[in-house]
Amino acid sequence: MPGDIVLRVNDLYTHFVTPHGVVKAVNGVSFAVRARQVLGVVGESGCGKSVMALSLLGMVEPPGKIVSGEVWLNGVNLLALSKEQLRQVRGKEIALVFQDPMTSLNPVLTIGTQITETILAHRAVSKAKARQRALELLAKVGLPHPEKLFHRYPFQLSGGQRQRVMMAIGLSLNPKVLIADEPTTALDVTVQAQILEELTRLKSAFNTGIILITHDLGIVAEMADDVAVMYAGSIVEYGPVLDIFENPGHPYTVALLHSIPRLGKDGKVLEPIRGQPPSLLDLPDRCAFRPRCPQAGRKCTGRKPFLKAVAPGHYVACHYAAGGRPAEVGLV
Amino acid sequence: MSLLKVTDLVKHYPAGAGFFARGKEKVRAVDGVSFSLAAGETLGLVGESGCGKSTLGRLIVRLEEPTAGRIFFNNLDITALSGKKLRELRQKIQIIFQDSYSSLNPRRTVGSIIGEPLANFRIGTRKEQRRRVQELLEIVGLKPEHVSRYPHEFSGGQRQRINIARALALHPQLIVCDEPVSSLDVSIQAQILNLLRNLKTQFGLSYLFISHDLAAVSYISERVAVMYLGKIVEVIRSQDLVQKARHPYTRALLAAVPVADPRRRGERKVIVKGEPPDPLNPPAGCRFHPRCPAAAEKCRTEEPPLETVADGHVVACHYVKI
Repeated sequence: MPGDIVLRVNDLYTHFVTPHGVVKAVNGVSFAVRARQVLGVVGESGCGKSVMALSLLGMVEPPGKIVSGEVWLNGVNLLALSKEQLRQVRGKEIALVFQDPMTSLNPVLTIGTQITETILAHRAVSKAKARQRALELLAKVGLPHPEKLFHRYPFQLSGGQRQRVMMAIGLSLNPKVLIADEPTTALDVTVQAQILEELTRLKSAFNTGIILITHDLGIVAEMADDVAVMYAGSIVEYGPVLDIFENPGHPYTVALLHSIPRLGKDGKVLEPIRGQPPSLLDLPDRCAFRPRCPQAGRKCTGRKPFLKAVAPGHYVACHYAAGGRPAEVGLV
Repeated sequence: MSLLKVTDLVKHYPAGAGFFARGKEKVRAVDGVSFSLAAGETLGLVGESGCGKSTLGRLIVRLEEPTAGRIFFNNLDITALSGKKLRELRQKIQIIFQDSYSSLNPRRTVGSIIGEPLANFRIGTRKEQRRRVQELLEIVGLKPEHVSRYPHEFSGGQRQRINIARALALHPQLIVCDEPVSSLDVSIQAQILNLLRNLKTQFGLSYLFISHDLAAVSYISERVAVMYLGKIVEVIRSQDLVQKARHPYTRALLAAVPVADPRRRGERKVIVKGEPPDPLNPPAGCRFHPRCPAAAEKCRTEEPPLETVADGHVVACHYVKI
């Protein structure tokens, strides 16, 4: 069972000012993560999910800029911290595992050095202690022969092994929140299954809240407790995983569920979503899904719809969603 | 009658890029593959990265020279075709790649890209070629005005439509689709899968559909062939895949695919541990035995042949016979 809230994001906006206009990559996102909870964030490429992850860690590079919002972790608003203070928090309290472990590991340092460095940078422990902890971690993420791997370089490892090393580094300081951005996308399914199993095990062992970012609805169904569906920089639907799959409220979520091929249901013809995902450049202040939406009506030319509750804990941002009051900022 | 028939096809690459590495070790990318594909059929080819599925596709369209084995197309041995005969064959067998961008020349307009095969083979007058290009644009769901645009102006899904239009230009009989939807967004994948399905019925095409995505493969194919380390280990009808697949590797793949249904959570099981071994040095006996939960003594020494277990269902495993 998920525990207390460990991370709360309030009304986050991250924009990129380019010569062509303003790219609104994250456009008013709010949610909370509990200990031992997996929050699945689904969306297609360019929906802003990765920029959202970087924003939580204050890692957005210019021309990107966090325009407004709060990220509360342990009673501290991370976005109000200085660069140096943030560096202290990053890795220790909140860590990020990327999709591509080859480019996020240093190619000229051994695996062992990279893990012990992380530990030594944040904890006042001896080198021997850090080494011992690193070996423990390598074993914990399911890597065989940690002593051997300790002296190897990233290129000597397979993709699955590198991803496990990234997880070991991510967990090395026992963070309260782990953000995993497409952690298995580059891997084969049999390897993916092992990594996902590891992630589930580690969440309980380390008491970590996990934000799992993926485009794969199968992974969300298997892993997530709650799901946030992102479209064009905003969360358009949020709720418990069963509600999202069995009672989706936003036309985009519905369409997404109808467009994926499923094993064993080959007779069913897929219903693709017409058109293309929108450009995030100069997004108008109205529902971004409207041009592709089969249910778009007169109301949709009006202002962008806010998330409102359709059931307990289940929120939908659609003018035509059945439901009552708008969600308060930070409620979801 | 089979449109395509492949017997004991082998492709070995010398390992290592350096001159001195030559001849010492071989990567056994495709290591004795036989199958056939009927006219109007779609055969799916699944397997994990490095299993040799793309190499097999490239061998069939004659982009690579096989080390051994034979390829028959319309009962004609095309393994060693060259020159004019090979050029003729290229009209009948086409290929679509995963990366829709790098397979399109960025400096040429869509019209000239799609019309290139027609110009190459001098089919029709200029005017007829232009008309055919317009027809092809319509067939794949692009607009007439797209003819003068450049590839960078299109999204991934639209670029894949351009690739499909070019592949269709010469009325091929067989199209090898190598991961055609893998780099596309979820909502766009379905558009392209449905387009391919419709084109097949409309023009009586056959596909060899290569992908690592079991769900996509079984959606579009009549039969699925599963490859592991350069060998086909099972061929089965798509509708039987989930229920009747018998090779332990196929079962492991099926079990590893996350199911988009939270109520069935936990059914996914990790059956095999570790990763596929190096094709440089495949294990003796059955190649899957080091990872197989059912491996016995015989599997370590003796390679199992593909055997028929039911109509349209062949398996290469010592322990799954009737």
